[in-house]
Amino acid sequence: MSTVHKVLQLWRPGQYIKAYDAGPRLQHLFGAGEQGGVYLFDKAHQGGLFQDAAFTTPVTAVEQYVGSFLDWSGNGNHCAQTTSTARSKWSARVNLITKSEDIEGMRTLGRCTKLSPSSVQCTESSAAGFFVATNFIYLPSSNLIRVKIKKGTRSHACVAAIDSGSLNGVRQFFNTQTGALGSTSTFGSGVSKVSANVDQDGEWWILRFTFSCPNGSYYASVYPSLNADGSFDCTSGDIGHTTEIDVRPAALAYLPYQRVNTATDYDTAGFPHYLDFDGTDDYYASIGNIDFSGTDKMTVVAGYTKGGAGTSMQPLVEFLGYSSAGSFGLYTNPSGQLAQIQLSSFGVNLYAAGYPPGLAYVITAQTDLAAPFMQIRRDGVLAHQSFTAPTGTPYGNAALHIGRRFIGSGFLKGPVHGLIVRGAASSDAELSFAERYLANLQGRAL
Amino acid sequence: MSLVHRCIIVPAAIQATCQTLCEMLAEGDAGKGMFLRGACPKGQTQSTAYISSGPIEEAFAAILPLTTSTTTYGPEGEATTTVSTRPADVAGIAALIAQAGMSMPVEQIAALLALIGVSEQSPEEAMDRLGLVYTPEEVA
Repeated sequence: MSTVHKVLQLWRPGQYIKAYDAGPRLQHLFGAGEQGGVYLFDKAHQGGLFQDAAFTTPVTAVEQYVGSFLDWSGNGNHCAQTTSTARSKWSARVNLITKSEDIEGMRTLGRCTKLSPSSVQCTESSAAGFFVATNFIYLPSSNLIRVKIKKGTRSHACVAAIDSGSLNGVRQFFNTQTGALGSTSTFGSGVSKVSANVDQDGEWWILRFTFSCPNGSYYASVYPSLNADGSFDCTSGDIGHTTEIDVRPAALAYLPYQRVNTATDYDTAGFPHYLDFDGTDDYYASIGNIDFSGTDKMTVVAGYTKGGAGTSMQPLVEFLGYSSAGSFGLYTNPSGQLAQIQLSSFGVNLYAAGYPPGLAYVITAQTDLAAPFMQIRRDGVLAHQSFTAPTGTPYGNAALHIGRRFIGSGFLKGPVHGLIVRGAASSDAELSFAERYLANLQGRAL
Repeated sequence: MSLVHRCIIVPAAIQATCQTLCEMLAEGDAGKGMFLRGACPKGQTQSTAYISSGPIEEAFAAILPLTTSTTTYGPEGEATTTVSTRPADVAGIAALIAQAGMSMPVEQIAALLALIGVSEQSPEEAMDRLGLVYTPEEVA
C-alpha cells in the first residue's frame, strides 16, 4: 500500500479541513450536524433570492420583492412567503434623510426655485427658502450634522438646523462668503452645540457641527441666504447654496448615506443590500418544520438596522409561540429601545437596554437551558447575561418565523442583512466569526 | 408577471369578504392571508380597518381603484394636498370573479370596491391620510 493510500485511509473529509474550503465559513457552524439556518441578503447571495414562493424566478435586481430565499447552512431550511403583499423588498437604499424624495420634497417658503437637488435659485430679493427633510429622522443623543454649501459672492449667511418641527433643536449660522462661523441658537431643554468647524472643498464649504439632544425624531434643514441679523437678502439670479444635508450620530457609525438626484436614480455601488421588512404584513416562514428537539442550546445572530416605528415587540425570529414549550425568539423593540430574547415554556426573558433605532446592529442571543445560561451580545460585546434561567426541556419541532410572531402579530419593521439560527451553543470564536460576517454585510467592521 | 406596489385598506366590516375574494382571484396562494393587520383611529384599540401592503400583479392593480395624493406648496409655504381616486373597473373585477367560479351581483361588487382604499403610498402614509394608526397589539 502506498504512502498516499495510507494517508487517505487515516484522513476523513472534514476532519482537519473542509474539503471545499480551508477558510472559515458560516457553513462550518453546522459541520457537526447542528440544526438551523443561515439567511443572507447581501449582493453575493442574490442567487439565493427568488421572486416567487416556489424558488423558480430569481431576484434579478434591487427593489424586487422576495417570495422565497435559501438557507445557506446546508440544512435545507429554506423560507418562503406565498402571500404576495406580505413579501419584502430586496433593497440597497441607504438613507434617513435624502432617500431622494426628501430632497425632492424641498419646500419653498419664499421665492426660491429649485434647479436641482443641489441648488436653489433666488428669483427676487428678500426671499426665504430652505431645504428641509420632509420626514423625521430618529436621532440618538449625540449627533453630527454636515452641510455642504457653495461659497457665496456676498456676505450671506446660512443656517443649518436640526429641529423637531417646533424648533426644539439647534442651529448653527455661518457666512457663505468667508466661511466664518456665526452664532448658535438652541431651542429646547437639553439641546446644545458641542463643536463646529468649517472646511473648504474647492468652491464649497463643509460645515460640520456636533450637538447633543434628547433622543427623538427631528427634521434636518438648511436655510440659505439668511443674513446673520435674521433678514433675508438675495438678489434675483443668485444661485446658492445647499447640497448634502447629512445627519448622523457623532459617536456611532451610521451606514453612509446614499445620495441620489431623483427618486428613480439607484446607485447601489458600495451600499449594502438587505431585505426591507415593512412593519405591516411582511414575514417569512421556513417551508418545513425545523427539528430542534435534540438540543437545549440555541444561538441566534441577527444583522439588522433597527426601525424606529411599529409595534413594541417585533420578532427577528420566533420559533413556536411566545412562552410556549420548546419556543425561542429574538425581538427588537423600537420604542422601548431594548433587545429581548425569550425561551421555552418558562417565559424567561433577558432584556438589554440602549439600542436606539436607526443604527445597524449585530445582535447575538445565546441560551443554554441546562447550564443555565443566557446572554445578549451587541456588535460582539457582551451586553447582558443571566445564569438564573431555569433548566428546561429541549426546543420543539416547528416552522421558523422571520419578521412576524408565531401567533400572527408583531411585524418587524426595518432592514435585515442576515440571520443565523443555530441549534447549539457557540464558542466565542464561533460567535465572533458570525458577528463579524454579518457586520460586513452591513458595510461595517467589528 | 409584472408586479407593482399597492397599499390596500379595507373596512373591518368587509374584511372577510375581501380576504375571500383575494384568495380566490389571485394566482395560487398569492392572495391568501391578506388583511390581517388591524388599523384604527388614533386613541382607539378596536380595529376599524385592515391593511395589506406590498406587490400585486400589475394587471390586477389596473382594475382596482387607485387613490393618488399630491402635496404642493404655495408661495408662502402653505401645503395643499389634492386627493383623487381613479374608479375601479367593476366589469373587469366581475369578469375575474365569474372566471373564478363565484357569483356576485355587479352592484355588490361596485359597492365593495367603493369602500376600499388603494394607493401607491407606504402603509404609514396611507393610514395617515385616512387618520388611522396600527391597532395596538398585545405584547405577549
